[in-house]
Amino acid sequence: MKLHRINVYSNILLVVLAFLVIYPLFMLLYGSFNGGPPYAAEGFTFRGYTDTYSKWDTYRALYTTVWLGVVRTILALALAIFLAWVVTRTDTPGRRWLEVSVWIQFFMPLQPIIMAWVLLGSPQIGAINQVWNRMFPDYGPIVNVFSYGGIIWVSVIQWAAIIFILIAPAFRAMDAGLEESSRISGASSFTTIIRITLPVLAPSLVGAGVLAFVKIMEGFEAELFLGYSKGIRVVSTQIYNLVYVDPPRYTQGMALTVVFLLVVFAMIVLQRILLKGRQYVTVTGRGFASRPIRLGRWKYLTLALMLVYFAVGVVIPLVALVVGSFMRLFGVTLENPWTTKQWAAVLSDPKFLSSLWNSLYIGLGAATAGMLLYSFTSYIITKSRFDGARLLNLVAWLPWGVPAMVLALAMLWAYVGGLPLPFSLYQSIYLIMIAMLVKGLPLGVQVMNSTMVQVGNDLEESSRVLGGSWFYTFRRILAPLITPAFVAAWIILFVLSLKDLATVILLAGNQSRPLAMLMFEYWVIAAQEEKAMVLGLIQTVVILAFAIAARVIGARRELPTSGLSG
Amino acid sequence: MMDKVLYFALAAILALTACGIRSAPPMTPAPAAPQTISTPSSSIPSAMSLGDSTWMKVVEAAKKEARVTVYGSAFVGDIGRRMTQDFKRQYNIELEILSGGGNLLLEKISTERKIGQPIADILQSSTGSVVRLIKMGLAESYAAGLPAIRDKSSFLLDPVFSPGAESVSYTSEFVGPVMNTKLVRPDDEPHSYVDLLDPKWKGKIISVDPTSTGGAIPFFFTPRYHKAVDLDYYTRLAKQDLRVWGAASREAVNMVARGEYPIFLIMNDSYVAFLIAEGAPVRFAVLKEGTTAGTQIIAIPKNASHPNAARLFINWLLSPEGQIAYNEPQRSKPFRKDVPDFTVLAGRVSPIKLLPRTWEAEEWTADDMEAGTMQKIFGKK
Repeated sequence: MKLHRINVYSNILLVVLAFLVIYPLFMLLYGSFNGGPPYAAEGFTFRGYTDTYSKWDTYRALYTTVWLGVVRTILALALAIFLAWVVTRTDTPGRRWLEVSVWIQFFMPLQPIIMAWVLLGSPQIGAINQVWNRMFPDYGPIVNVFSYGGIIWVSVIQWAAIIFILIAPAFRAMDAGLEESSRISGASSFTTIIRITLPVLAPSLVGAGVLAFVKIMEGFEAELFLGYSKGIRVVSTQIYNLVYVDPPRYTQGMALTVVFLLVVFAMIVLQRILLKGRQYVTVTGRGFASRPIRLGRWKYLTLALMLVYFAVGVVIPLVALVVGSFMRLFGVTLENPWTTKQWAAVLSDPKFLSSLWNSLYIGLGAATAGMLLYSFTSYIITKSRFDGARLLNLVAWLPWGVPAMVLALAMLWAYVGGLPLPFSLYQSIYLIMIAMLVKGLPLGVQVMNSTMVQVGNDLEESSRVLGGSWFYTFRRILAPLITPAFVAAWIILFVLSLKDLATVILLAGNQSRPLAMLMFEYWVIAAQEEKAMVLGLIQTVVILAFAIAARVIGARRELPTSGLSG
Repeated sequence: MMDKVLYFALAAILALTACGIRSAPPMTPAPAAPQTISTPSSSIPSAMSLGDSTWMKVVEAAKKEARVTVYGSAFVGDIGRRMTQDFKRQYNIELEILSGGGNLLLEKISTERKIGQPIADILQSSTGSVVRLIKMGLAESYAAGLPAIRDKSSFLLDPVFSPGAESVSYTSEFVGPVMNTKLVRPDDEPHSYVDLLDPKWKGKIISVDPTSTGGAIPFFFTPRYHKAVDLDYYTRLAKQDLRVWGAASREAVNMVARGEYPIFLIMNDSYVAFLIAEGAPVRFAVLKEGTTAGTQIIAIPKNASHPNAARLFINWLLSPEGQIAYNEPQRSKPFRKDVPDFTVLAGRVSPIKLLPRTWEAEEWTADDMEAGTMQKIFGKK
């Protein structure tokens, strides 16, 4: 593609992203300085900031948020690296099935998982403590899920799966020759991991770590269910309280959200410092091999550890979901606890099918349109010489700093209440799609960035030298190489779109209600957890089916690895 | 070049936004309404009452509108499904229900007003957001002419009106503490507010946030308005190290049913009766100083798309048919005397003394909340 044409497209892209990202963020900032309700210009005020930042509670919540975020990110990243290494770089038996189990963990809705851990780890009723008390009646409970430890435990299991999914393609694409050279030179497996594998994969690991760190700090379900009653306060639960609990304090809520944006800026700077001057390219024209490392007897240890993860991350929550869906009252000891009426009620609910259809429409639309946009954005950022590439990267990062519930408010204020459009997006499925597209922008672009920078320019240049057009080169060289990451990111965005509640709860209406919102209505409003679990199971199965389909379609587009090494 | 394009685009967006903000209709509260306790017979001018022929016109217009959308939290799951079926069968009108927290739904109504695209025909809440809608001057006056409430002797409790007849109550629940009968021995059961101050309950009572409008009012505000307890009581209660539950109230009661906590401070007897019917070991605590009446109220936003269908739905909700459709699925106590009581025997509650939720009490609560009395004691938000 000629340089000036690339520049034109890049400028158009920058304007589109500015409209999608900066405009809602402007509304958010406006909200933090507006003294009155959202749609009334009540005058400029610093009250939101002075109210929020003059309270000791705010700083206590900030401190808790940061240390909980750091601890959880480090642990989740370490676990994810271990999982990815075992699955992609070793000969551990059954590793493909173990990979499937990680994906299933990611597919499951979070609230039932939290409930499952309450039933296991509650000091009063938890099964673990019941068994412990029978064995050692003189001691108190051995575990307490309503604690910092409980929040860390639940979040690490959840986020390890997400980080695994983000970094596994990079692990898989890495040239095994690098590791083999290390071992031939006399280095042990451990030294090879520390000195070769991890540094080579640093961009992907740092990118995933930074993405996870910000989102872990914004998460609020585990914090609300497991920590709030014990006095644990984090910024996300404070924002939830200010924005969603009567009476609302929008100005203060928006002022507190600005903290996350600052954290994102800091993370971008940190990422640049950490990766400065590093060579990322691992896929070049000279070919590569991806033979697994032979672990010998150690492979049984890695298998055992993976099975522990499988039990903790998948079996326990899945069993809780299935069991809960057949109970009259979830977790309550009754004389006759079992029933199929929850399934009958959900399947006969007229809202069920329409919600399922809406979910699929939103998920497929947002993931597909999003990935095309993110891939192009990433291409411009990493492969073009566009002057505004850095600015583009920054804009693509910004939505990550906005908690989903606040992003939804900003979208509503921006695209429904703020801008006079010739058509109404209010309560439409398209507004939800746009919100999902904006929400997924940082993740989609960063996944594609970390893959694009691994692909050396020599491959494209060879094609161009031999007379291949830009499109031909893209289709035959770049597209097959980035397809695994594209498919993985598509699945992630599809799943996140289907699981999302914080965004849709404000933007959806009766005609655009997705499955997650129906689940919320059953779970939170009606307190019928059993019916919500039925929906959670159905959602998990639907996601699994689509993910398998995506992998099958994606696999047809991939070039076999051996084809590059000849 | 790139910079210019970007700056131009941003400037255009911000300018358009500024236009949008300036053109917003005011959302400031309407002038204060006269502060009187209102009942159907005393405060609604007779000229506002609808005769039978006028009401028939409302019914006909409602049928032509063919649809009514309710925003609220009470008509979910099995209840909503039953009401949708029965209302449709009786009037051939589609009932759409969108559930959510009061604040969230009020935000949606504000947006609809801003863009001139009203979807909500009715807002339902346990006072909080409906009171805010009325105070903002965004609620229609409708309740005076409803045929179903002409004879107030048909109801277990007087229907509560706002002074301008913008809302009406439709439930006869009681709200108070609920306890797990396996964890609270009969000798230890609280029979008084003061019993909850016993050191044995320290750190073992779970509660909604005492500073939130919706859930906290029946325990932290109404009893004080009626002087059943004084401010000092709450200061002492704060020292009991209450466990504040941040999510939905019913979730907290489910935790009590599971045995996680022995006592939750605020739940309506209907849901407790539902849990008892399912076999859960819970009981509603009747306190001698008074039990607060649970008040679910319902309003029609101004400029609703289906105002006649909204009136018809509310009238139906207050009629015997509507009360059966609302109460039977949740096995709760109807608002009307001429409808069977669906509660199981063990779940029925007979308050020693009732603390009514009048409009004056709600106004007082709103002012007290603004003054931050509970915030000073419990230090939240």
